Amino acid sequence: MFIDWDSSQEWSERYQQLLLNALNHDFRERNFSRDFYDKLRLRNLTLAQLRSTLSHSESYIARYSYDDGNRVGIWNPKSYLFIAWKPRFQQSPSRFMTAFKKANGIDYMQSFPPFREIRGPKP
Amino acid sequence: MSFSSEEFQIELENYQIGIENILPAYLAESYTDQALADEMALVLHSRDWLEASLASAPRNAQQFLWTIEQLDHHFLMLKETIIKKLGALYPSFRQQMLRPRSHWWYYLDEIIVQPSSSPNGTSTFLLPLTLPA
Repeated sequence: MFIDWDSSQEWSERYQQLLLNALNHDFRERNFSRDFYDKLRLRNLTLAQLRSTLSHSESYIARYSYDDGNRVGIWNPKSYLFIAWKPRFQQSPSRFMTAFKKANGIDYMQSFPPFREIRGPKP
Repeated sequence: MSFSSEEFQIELENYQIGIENILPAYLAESYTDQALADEMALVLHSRDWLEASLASAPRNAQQFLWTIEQLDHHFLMLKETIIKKLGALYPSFRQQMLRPRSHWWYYLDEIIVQPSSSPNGTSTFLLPLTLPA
């Protein structure tokens, strides 16, 4: 999936759906960082919790960034669960990098700009 | 800043697991995994959050002060390895947006270690002030 992060294009329903498809595909295929499971174990998190966060309409989805590239964060304000996904970049395939609980996932992502909300929670 | 005890526990645990388990494991590897950036960012932001909570509700958070100080010390012990392993990625976290120098965890590469003068004493960590030219 090609994502033009810096365009002024709004995140239309269709664009959001493409992103969700990419996230679901990587989750189904278990495209995880090498020690992803170790980190889940340390943090007492399960794949079922992550699946629920990904599919929940009340989860926020936003883009943020580190020096090594963009990230997409999925955060559910009720469970506090946060999942970090790195989109495909040059030779690196897309994959889920880590998961943890966060008191305020929006504040976290805003701390690593440029931040851009992709989808707010749908009640 | 208002927060629940559950939220405080979440952030304290993020800092603790990051400092005691996850960062040391990444730092011991012979190569640099891309997920190290995610874990470093989490440690930095969780420490920000703890700092803000200590400032806004010192009574509630006071009981955890000792734990946070112990973790800070552990963090400072990892200083050299973090700087070496993360390279340019580490200072980029403070270049993304303004991070006050009171948040020393963004300035590990500028901290000076002053060894203790006595054999059993502990080292002192100093972050010099920067003054406008």
